[in-house]
Amino acid sequence: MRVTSPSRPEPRVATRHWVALSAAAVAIAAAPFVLPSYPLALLTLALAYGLFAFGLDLSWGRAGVVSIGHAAFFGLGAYGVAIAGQNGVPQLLGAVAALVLSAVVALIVGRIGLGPRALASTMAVITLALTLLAEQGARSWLSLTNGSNGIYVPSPGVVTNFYVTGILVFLIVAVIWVVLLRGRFGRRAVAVRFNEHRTEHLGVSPMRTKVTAFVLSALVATAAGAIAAPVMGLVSPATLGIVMSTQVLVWVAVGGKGTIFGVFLGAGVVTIGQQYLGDAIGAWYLLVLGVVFILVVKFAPSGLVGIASGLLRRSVSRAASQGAVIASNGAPDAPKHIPAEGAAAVRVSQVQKSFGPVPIINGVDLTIQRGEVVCLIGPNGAGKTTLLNLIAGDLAPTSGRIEVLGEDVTNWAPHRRAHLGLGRLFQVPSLYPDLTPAQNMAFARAEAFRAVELPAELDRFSAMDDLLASDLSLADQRSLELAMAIAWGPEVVLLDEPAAGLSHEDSLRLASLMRSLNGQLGCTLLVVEHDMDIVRELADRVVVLANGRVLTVGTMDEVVSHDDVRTAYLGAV
Amino acid sequence: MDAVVTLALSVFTLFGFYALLAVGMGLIFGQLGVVNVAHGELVMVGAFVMFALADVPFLPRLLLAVLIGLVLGVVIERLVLSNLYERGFLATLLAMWGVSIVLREGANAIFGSTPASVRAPIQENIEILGVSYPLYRLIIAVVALAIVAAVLLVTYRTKLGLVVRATVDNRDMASVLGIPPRLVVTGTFAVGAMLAVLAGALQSPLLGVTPMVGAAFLAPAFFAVLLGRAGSLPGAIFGAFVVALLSTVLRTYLNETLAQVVLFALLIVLVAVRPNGIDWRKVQWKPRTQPAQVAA
Repeated sequence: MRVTSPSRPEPRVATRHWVALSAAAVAIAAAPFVLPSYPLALLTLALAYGLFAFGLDLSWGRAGVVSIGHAAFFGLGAYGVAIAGQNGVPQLLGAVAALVLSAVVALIVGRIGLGPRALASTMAVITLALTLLAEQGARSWLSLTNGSNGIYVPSPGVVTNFYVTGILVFLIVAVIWVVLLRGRFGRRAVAVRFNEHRTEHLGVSPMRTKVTAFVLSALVATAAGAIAAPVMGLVSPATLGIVMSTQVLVWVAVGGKGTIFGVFLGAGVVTIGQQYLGDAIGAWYLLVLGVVFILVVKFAPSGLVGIASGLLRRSVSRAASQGAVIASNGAPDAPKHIPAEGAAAVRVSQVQKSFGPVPIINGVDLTIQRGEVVCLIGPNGAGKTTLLNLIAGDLAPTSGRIEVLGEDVTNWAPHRRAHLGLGRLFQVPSLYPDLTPAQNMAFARAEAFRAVELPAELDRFSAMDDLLASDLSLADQRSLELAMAIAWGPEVVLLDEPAAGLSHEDSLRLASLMRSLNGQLGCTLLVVEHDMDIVRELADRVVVLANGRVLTVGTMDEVVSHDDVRTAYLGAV
Repeated sequence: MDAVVTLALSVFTLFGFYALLAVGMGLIFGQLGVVNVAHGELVMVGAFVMFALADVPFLPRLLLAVLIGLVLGVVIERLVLSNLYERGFLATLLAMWGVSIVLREGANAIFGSTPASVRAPIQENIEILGVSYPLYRLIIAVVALAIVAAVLLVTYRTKLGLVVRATVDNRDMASVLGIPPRLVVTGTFAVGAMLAVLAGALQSPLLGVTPMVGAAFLAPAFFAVLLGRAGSLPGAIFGAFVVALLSTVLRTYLNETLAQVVLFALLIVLVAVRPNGIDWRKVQWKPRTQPAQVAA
């Protein structure tokens, strides 16, 4: 494994981006001078559709939220403009009204379909229902929408149309790209898509990130519809129907999701192809699109752009981040939360947890002071991991009360607990396997709870930028997870068997590393561990858990000599 | 009184149809973890089979539809879904969406979008508690429910059902025990798809058959599956009853569009208030043993 020197942080807009932006601007400015009017009109339509595809991609390609009824939002924008025009209201007003309505609808749909316990497929079906309803509504609400005949929207002329569309599309895409995709939103969306669980324990709410992505994507789709209305000329129920929803999925999939160039390419190729091939093969064109869609999903999930960029030589880290800027000077100088004076790090009172009829935790009382290192031991099935999950918020207790750093967090989501400075490591390392180790570290630092100086032993990952975290050995993955969790700057860290699978020497080294973290950074550590040598090395206090109860608490020597502990481990002798 | 009887009969017949859809969808969803977004299009295929082969007598035509459904299921599973399972539910969902485009646009290219009609084999009405009701509707509802019952019996009470459930639970272990997992997976999908095609075939005389007719059935079927308890097939059937009841009642008092809006809104709310405990990989059965005593 080669360790490269840390490269300079990536700027938000790099030279290659300036080149691409200028090229796009020049192309838009020059097109009317080069193209005859019919191809120009087609290009205008392709640009508006491209913006629609870009909108869908914000949720599907970036945050992994698929909407199979996105035309509902696109059609809303188109109808907003059309209805305003028909009733003598300024079109802009209609567009704004449509944007507001679509934000509200998207927010409601997102909150329900992306809730922490909703199935991912629920979102797909709710969005499908949305497009079916919208289409039927447009067909039957005659007074407003003129039913199946649709509403005619006058065009201001081919060239004007093109420039208005081109400039608006360029501005919307450029602003969203610079401000959001290259900023905090883009970074978080990538993190949520790669590993929701890790992200929420770094204090980022996956649901909020996904709902933001979906609302944003609905807004862009609505704007695209409003821009497209005069280009299409006729706004009919099909504009918000299922065929349109399907088409936009095909554009994004074929072009390449997660890339701006890809979605515009997909929209352009399919739209222009439809005009020229549609005459030749008629209704079969859509059938061919369906087959292409299946082939892309099955064999080339990253689309045309993915195939093309696979042939280019790009650095591992640039390919991995998919256009997001992971590094950021996010670490605050002061911790994000200062606990009250004298608050315990963790206080668990009378906590019970059952899975169905089976009780796992039977009334545990436990207080861990700040700055302590506490080891949790006990025979298999004692409930050690369950207790950690209860404290971290991955499970909700059946009854009882859990406090972290002086706050009652019993009903809090994991990311809110993380905001207090609660870090978490898992039995099976939870990382961003598709990012490089350096990017893993950079994300933890960007979302940091407080700035910390990392020991050299853990900092080695910060410069490791030429392979993916999934390529690391299990032992290195474990260290990387620890490095991430510490670089994030936690006040309290929960560790689940950090030494599992390590050699004896390595685990003793890990133990002394953890002691020094505790000494230098003042981190409170709660460690589940089986290896008694480590426990002896590490623990200020040892808590023995058996059958969901605290059997005894004390120093290692006190615990070892305790009769009940021997019985719990060895059975009655 | 007449209104109540008509309403009850309408709920019953719609329930039969939705139950058949939900059990097929639930089978594919629960057993394979695939959200079959092409389920509605399979219904459409069933209806078009009945339309296209109008010269064949009704019962043999139904058998042909079943056969076509099975073949279609095998082809889709082998060509499209196989090897996609590991890539997660989104990949299979999108692939099935591709299948639905192909089926829909294929039907559009062959038959066009003018509604086609299929003649019911039984035209008589029957008098029930003073209400005259088409006999055919009642018969297909009974047939549909009988098929649903048979599917449940096979899944939960036979060795074949046990083999299927075991394969789903742990494919590797099942293959160690001598069960060919690919065969079971393909078979399950084919049966699920066939049930949808059969539902469409039975229902065809009541539909204006167009390529778009199927899309509208996906949402009710999916919500029925979602409403069920913890991934159980009986739960999906219960869900189908709730959806049929709500939909019929709403349609009695509101116009078509409004009824649909309210129906979807209600279903979304129902799913929103109790989204938990829905684990589709877990097949429900009655515990025969007491939970193990936790040793003191």
